[in-house]
Amino acid sequence: MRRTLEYESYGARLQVGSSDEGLLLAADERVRSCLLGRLKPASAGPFDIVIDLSREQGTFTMDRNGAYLSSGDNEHTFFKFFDAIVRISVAEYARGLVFLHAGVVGWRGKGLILPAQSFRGKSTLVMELVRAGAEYYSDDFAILDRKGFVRPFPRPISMRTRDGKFDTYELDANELGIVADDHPLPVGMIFLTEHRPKARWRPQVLTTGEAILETIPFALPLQRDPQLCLKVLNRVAANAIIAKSPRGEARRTARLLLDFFDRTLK
Amino acid sequence: MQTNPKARQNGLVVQDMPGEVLVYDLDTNKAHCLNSSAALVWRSCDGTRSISDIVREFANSGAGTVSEDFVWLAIDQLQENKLLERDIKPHFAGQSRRQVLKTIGLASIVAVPVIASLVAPPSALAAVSCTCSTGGACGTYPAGQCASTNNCNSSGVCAP
Repeated sequence: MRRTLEYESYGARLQVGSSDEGLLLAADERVRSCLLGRLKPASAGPFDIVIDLSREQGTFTMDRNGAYLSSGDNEHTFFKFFDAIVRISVAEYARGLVFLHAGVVGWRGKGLILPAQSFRGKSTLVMELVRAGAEYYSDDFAILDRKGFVRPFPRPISMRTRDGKFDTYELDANELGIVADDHPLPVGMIFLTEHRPKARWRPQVLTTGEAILETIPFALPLQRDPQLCLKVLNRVAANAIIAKSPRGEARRTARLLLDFFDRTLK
Repeated sequence: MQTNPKARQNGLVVQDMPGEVLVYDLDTNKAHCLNSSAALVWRSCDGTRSISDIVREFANSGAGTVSEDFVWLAIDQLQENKLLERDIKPHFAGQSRRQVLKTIGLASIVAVPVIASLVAPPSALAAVSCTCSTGGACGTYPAGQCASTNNCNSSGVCAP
């Protein structure tokens, strides 16, 4: 018999259903851990996200909002994908908040946001910034509110091996440095960077319009609520410095970036 | 008879900021940043103003003196980016757009109209992730985003 579990997280309403009780319990555990426990039961619909899970003859299948999403026979991989889908879906449907795909640290009482796609070295740079004394906020999402403040989402830092296999492993940020509690910070800087071999560090400050344009691709609710996205990004850009530069090795970049932050925002 | 240009209204989300305008096109998922000159031309395109009227708008706004070719350059870019309601044939008095741009760029103290654009990712998942459950999913991410387009590794990542 199909059973469902309902949640609300950051205003997004999520339902997970399955007729496989073992699968449902595993999914429940995963939802709670991937959202850092920042959720509460939702009593009734409608739901923004409906995920259906099934398992037949060793093959796992996932649908989202009535459409087939993925299937596979490796349970570990399947639930890692489920983890990503839950987080991204909540980020997409959160109410009154704009989730950017970004690393975030706190420095001198302000937020430093690092938007980047996967495989661009974002988590490595966040790790080095925390080692250099910055406060860990997230290596996954910058959660921006309407006032232009950034909230923490301090999940374990997700790293990839550099042996060409890109296997993932997690770092506990508590072992590296200070991890943010729940207090939001005003955004001081958004810095767009990615690792390139032999890159030359040369920060270029952007105009407000250029800054929003370059940040837009990382805004997860863009398709659903473009008005909110642009409004919040405009608010942030009006009060923060937004700059970009390619970067080389992460440890050195962390020191250069914090120095640039200090000089620009003094 | 030349039709007067008219700025498109429907299907756009617009954010004004000092000296620039950001426009997000809901139909194409494209975002455009108009610099001050492009923004002034766009805002002046109300369907009743001719090109020479828009030239006068520049002078009246204190933005400076510009030529009709300057305004046509902006109109050309606005049209290319589907920010006008109807097509208008550019009129560069026998010159190519590149020649006009060069001439205007050298002579103008008013910023040359520029529209910077990019295409936003088609979905939130495509925007951020290289996660997968099978290799087939890896081919759906934008080119160059992930380390592999066809292999889902044991960590659930599109990578060799």
